[in-house]
Amino acid sequence: MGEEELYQLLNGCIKQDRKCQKALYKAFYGFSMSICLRYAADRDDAAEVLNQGFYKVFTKIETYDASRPFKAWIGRIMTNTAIDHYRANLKMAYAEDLENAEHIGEVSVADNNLNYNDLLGMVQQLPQGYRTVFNLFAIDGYSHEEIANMLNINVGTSKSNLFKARQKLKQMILNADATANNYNKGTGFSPIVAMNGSAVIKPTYYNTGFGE
Amino acid sequence: MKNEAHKDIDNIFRQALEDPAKEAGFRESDWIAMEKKLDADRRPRKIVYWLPLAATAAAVILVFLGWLFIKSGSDSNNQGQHPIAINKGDKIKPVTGKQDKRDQTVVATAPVDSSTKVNVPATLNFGPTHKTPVASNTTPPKMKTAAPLNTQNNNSQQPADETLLIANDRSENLQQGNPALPQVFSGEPVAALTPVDVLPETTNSTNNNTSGISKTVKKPTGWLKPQLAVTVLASSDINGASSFKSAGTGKNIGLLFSARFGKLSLSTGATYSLKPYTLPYSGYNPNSSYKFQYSPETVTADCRMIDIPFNIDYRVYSKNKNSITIGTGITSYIMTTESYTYNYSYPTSWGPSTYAVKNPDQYFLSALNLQVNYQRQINSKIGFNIQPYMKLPLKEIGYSQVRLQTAGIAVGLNWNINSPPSPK
Repeated sequence: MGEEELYQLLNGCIKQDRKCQKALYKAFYGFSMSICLRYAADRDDAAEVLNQGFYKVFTKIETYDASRPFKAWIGRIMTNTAIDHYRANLKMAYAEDLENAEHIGEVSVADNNLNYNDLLGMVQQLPQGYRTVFNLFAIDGYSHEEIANMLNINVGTSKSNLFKARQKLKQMILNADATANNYNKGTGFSPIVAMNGSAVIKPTYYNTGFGE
Repeated sequence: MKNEAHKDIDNIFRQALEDPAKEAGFRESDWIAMEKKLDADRRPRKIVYWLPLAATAAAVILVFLGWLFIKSGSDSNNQGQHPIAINKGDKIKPVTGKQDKRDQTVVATAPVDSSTKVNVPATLNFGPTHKTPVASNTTPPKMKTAAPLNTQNNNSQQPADETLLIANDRSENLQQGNPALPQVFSGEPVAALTPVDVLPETTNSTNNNTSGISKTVKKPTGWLKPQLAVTVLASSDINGASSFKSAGTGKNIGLLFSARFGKLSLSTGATYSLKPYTLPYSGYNPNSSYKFQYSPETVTADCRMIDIPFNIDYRVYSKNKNSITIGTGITSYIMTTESYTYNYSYPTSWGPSTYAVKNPDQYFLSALNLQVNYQRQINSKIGFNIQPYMKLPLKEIGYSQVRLQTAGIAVGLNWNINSPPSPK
């Protein structure tokens, strides 16, 4: 989308023109949904967060500073909306998750053939508290101090949850690798599928040529 | 080693999830939910152009209610103070004087005089403060009464059916604290008196006047000695440039001095006014060579000024404690602060956002005033005012060169500096 076209849409949104609102919604739907899916447990949950975020976009559009990229602005709104959406349940999630933490030895997971849907499915399977901290730290690049402030938790809690999130993800990756190996050996497998709700996307296993 | 492993995990997910090559596809059902959310939370837009109509309607209702209030007050006064009906040929009945303290009613007594042909009520209500008993055989008081009260006049030449309704004229004298009132009680023969019968002593020909009350009662003439008053007014109004479509709500507080000459009054003073308004950029015509790189869509003005009116009012209604005047006049503005905020169509800060005029100007005889004033007198000195008003532009004012129009309602208190002009 060109800059001029974007400004025309923003201008229409300021005037609460419904066509412009829909055009902007469609234009940034995929980008915004990719953020919401990371923080949500499934596609429907993500769609709810997305609409809350777009509601803020439409009602606060006058506050947008055009000297900065619009995509970054809307991305920050989606992240903050997702955090707000889950904030009330986060502390309870932390308490539950602490008991389920388990230690996994140092294993390299660099060489794997997992695609976007596989990895998204793994993140969505994380407990809510782990998922939120992992997203903020590993993907969105916030520091533990910033995360602690955003989620109203201790820095130590943030570090702890990040560690446990990594452990769980590592375990899932190892399981996925083991499943793929078992498939290669002819034994059964149960793939992890991202809960994006649009369709059940089959995981791609390049070694086997299975899938697409 | 441990950190490397962590970085591996983080990198795997960051690379895949941060900017996915294949984003989730658009779902119409999500937009429908979004639309419902927007529709549910959409607040009705402010329809500012309704404000003038609402203000006008409020003013009309106010005047109507005032009229009703005045009318009802007038009716009750007529019921409480019965006018004296004097018919030639009627006879006076002998009564004995006494004072009923319980209901604070003075009952006057008149000697029997068969030749007197005046029939008046025997019961007079003077209110709680007058307890002086009526003497039955004393010197006639020095007072001005309605002609028929002269019971000694056997040859009255009033028309046979003449009925005198004078309550209203004389009640004004009572309201003004007429000193002649106590003399009523020192004289006789008084067949029957009401407070409204007592008039200032303006002529010696009262007893001999047989031409009717209209000749014996001189109306006050206040033309030479004006009644001066000072009024504090506060108001809220709407201000618009050329129209009220994008009007702003202003606030005013001021002090007015007025001089009343009969039904006419002149007033002037000063009012400090906050006049915000918004106008489209096309209506913004500053005398400046500056050109915007990106034109604002609208301009919001914040003007603070001293409003100096000079008004003339005419009293169209006055009864008891209530009066209504209509008036017109002309206003001059002395701008004290003048600033403009530029609103752009794009949410951007590409152009200047505000401009404050360094030396605000003065604009003499800039607006035509139209006002209606309802006043209720609380006591002889203090009154309460409600004043719907409009200010119509006569010329452009301000740095933005706009024709600023105003409509609003003021409330205030007025204080009579001097006594009302006394009749001669």
